[in-house]
Amino acid sequence: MIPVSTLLGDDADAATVGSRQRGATVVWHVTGATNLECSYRRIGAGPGPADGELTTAEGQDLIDDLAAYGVDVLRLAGGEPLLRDDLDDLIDYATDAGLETVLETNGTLLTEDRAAALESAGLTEVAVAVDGLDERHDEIWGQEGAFDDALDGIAAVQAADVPVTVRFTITDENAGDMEEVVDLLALEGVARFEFAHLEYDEEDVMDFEVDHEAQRRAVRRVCDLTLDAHERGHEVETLLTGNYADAGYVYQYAREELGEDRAAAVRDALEAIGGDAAGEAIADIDYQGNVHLTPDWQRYSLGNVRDRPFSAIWEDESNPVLRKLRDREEHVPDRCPNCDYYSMCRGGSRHRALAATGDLWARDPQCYLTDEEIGLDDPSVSAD
Amino acid sequence: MTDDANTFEEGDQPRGRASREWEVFVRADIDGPLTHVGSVTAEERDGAREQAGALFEDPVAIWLCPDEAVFRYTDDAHTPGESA
Repeated sequence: MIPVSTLLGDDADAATVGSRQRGATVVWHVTGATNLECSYRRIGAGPGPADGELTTAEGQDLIDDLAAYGVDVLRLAGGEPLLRDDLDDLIDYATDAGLETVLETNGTLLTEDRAAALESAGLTEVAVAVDGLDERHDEIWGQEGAFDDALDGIAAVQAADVPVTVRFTITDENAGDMEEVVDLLALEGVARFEFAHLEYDEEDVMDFEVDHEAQRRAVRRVCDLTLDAHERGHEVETLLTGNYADAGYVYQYAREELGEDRAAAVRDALEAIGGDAAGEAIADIDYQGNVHLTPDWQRYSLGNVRDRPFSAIWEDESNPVLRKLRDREEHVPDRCPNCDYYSMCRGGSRHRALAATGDLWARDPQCYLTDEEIGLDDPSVSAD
Repeated sequence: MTDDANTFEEGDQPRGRASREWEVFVRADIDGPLTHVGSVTAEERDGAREQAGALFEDPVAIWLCPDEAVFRYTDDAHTPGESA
């Protein structure tokens, strides 16, 4: 996660707050049930509870294990997590265990009563997907009125005094809506916006990917709109996720717009954040208990919490993929260790490389930085 | 079997989601054991083999087993949900 507004603010050092510890954040897809079909996300299983979902008792044992292991944040995702009947109980149990809980939702099922119950259970934050202005969002989520329902849901969460993050996933369809979404929702009192690049481990989702130039424009838009909002007195918080090539770009932006001294602090902060965290600080557990290296890498599982606790699976470096990810500098393409920004990126997304090329250790197809930008002296290594 | 012998819980919950799940075992070198290294998701055996081959470089053997053919028996002291 790249905290753009903090980096471009007056105190870039504050951006280093956040844990790089192993398994600091765990995403648990509590259900496969969905009420909307998102065009770019394939984790849902259909309208009803999916086969083999972890039971309440299994979920509570999972939470106990996560808490004992030292996990800080449990992100409850789906499917649509609000379709799980025992969600409030799970949040309550996780809160008692000392975990922060974040709900990842499409927002359409959030009413004031539901939001108040979630707040009572101890929910820390709600992240609502808003992927464009009304018609665009409705098209992406496959239902007319989904945008309006999501905004009603956001209002319900705000009424319950639970912090809201709006999550905007950048695709080839919606990049042009970014500023207007921020302007509209900032007026509604939303103060935190996450701009997520498309992550995938299947080729067909690549159809929604934006090209390198469009990605650069999108990241620049995020930086520009952040500074613009702050100049206008709106203290919005902006984040970029899903592509650590952005770290190099944001650093370059800081050099251009803020000068070398402040850019140096931005660089230090980005290096402390440390780049891609798959297999390390972030983990994923699907609704059947399969443990994945990161949320959008669903086609490979390290093991299942019904066989071994998450903590044992995540610590088992006899697994060659886990071990290599944690020692990735030895394996990433030649271009990466020679890149000026390697320590703030660490080779980008391995699952995107795998989906795009069939090679786990190929170049991340969303690395849009040129050889010149990354300080590559020897063009012969750029082909990787 | 003694009174304090482990008791085992049979796990029969499905693990494939959008398509089938395949348990993967690799032998890194000819003198070493066959080791379980996780599972991959694929409709067909060839797709599972392709994925496993991309993830695990240069093993001397890869074994694939469809998830539904595995019968799992785990000491119930280590089975989640049994303590409640």
